[in-house]
Amino acid sequence: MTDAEIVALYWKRSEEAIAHTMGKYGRYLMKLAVNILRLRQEAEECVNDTYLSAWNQLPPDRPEKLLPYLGRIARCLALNRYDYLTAQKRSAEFTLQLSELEECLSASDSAERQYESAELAAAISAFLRGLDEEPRNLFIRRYWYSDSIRQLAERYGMGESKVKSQLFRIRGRLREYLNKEGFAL
Amino acid sequence: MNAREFYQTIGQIDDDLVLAAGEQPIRKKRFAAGQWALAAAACLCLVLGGAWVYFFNAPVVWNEGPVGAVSNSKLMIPAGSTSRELSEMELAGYYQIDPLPNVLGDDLRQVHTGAALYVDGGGTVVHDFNQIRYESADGNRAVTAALSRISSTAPAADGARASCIHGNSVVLTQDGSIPGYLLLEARWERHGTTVCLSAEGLDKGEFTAIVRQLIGG
Repeated sequence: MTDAEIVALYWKRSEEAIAHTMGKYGRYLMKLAVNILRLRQEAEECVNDTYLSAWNQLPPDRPEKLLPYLGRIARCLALNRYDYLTAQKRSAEFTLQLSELEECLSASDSAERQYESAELAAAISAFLRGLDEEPRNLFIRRYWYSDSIRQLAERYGMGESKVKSQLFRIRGRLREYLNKEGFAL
Repeated sequence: MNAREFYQTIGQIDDDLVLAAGEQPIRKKRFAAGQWALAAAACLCLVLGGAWVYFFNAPVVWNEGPVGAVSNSKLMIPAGSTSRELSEMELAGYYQIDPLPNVLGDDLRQVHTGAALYVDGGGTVVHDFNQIRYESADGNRAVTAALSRISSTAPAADGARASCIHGNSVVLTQDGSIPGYLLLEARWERHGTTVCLSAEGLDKGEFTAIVRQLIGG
């Protein structure tokens, strides 16, 4: 079933929409949530909340592609859940990902300009489009799909140290790019 | 902006980028050490096997046709030239070959035929066709090695196929036009010297063994 057909079911308020979503994107959402939370039970709850959230937002939303749409919901929910779990000292892997991203940010908190996150996301997209395919996908897999270093090494057939060094270079370039574009983060 | 907010912002990058990264990449196969060793061993076997076939066991190809009888070289000696007899070492040095053995095969002994170079008044070699003959004691079997660097020799027949013996291209010809009497010939070039080996009364196996002996040193 195509994404458009599944979205149409949501708009008809047919519960089959959830079943088709689970069938088509259940594994993907579960993997995404597990990557962030590392706890299967927590991830399952997160995925179920994603279906509920999709049910509530479709309509009025009518996304063309469900994968990134559902992924964004799952990431957001997982991130909130992560905040709760962090208090209990869990998910060291995701904490590592966030600390990596701090390298892209300015040491100063006194940013003179406030940005719309959409504007910043557009700049990040433009930066990523300027990268070769492999480093671009590596970055997205790490910071969008929240893949672990080991998963990335297996996925792209390279050593873990190479994955780390590539990500390090990309983060450095992203920081330079954003500074150049006037984003004082 | 903190890392968490930045992570959320990354969540809003363009859909097509997210979808492209979600596709399964073409995996670059990583070879484990054992696989590398296996691949290297397979390559080595291939190279050694190829070399062995090339140098030692390449099948020989026989061409059918008249064997160019070794001509009487004296007929071709330029008028007015003078000859100089060569010692065995001088002969080998001039033709850039290893000294020819005194015995080929089991019982073919070198018959003294003499070896000479013919030079003109200025000392330039103008004729260098020489033959060394080997014969069995009963005279029924004989091999003649003809050597030349500048004198012309009868070329191999057009379309003749070459065999590879010890890495050298050798044209082998058999002539069975005389009933009960097989003539064999092998031609090859090495270091600018044309060698034409002809045999009478030998079978092909014996003959190729002698060719291998002479080429292989």
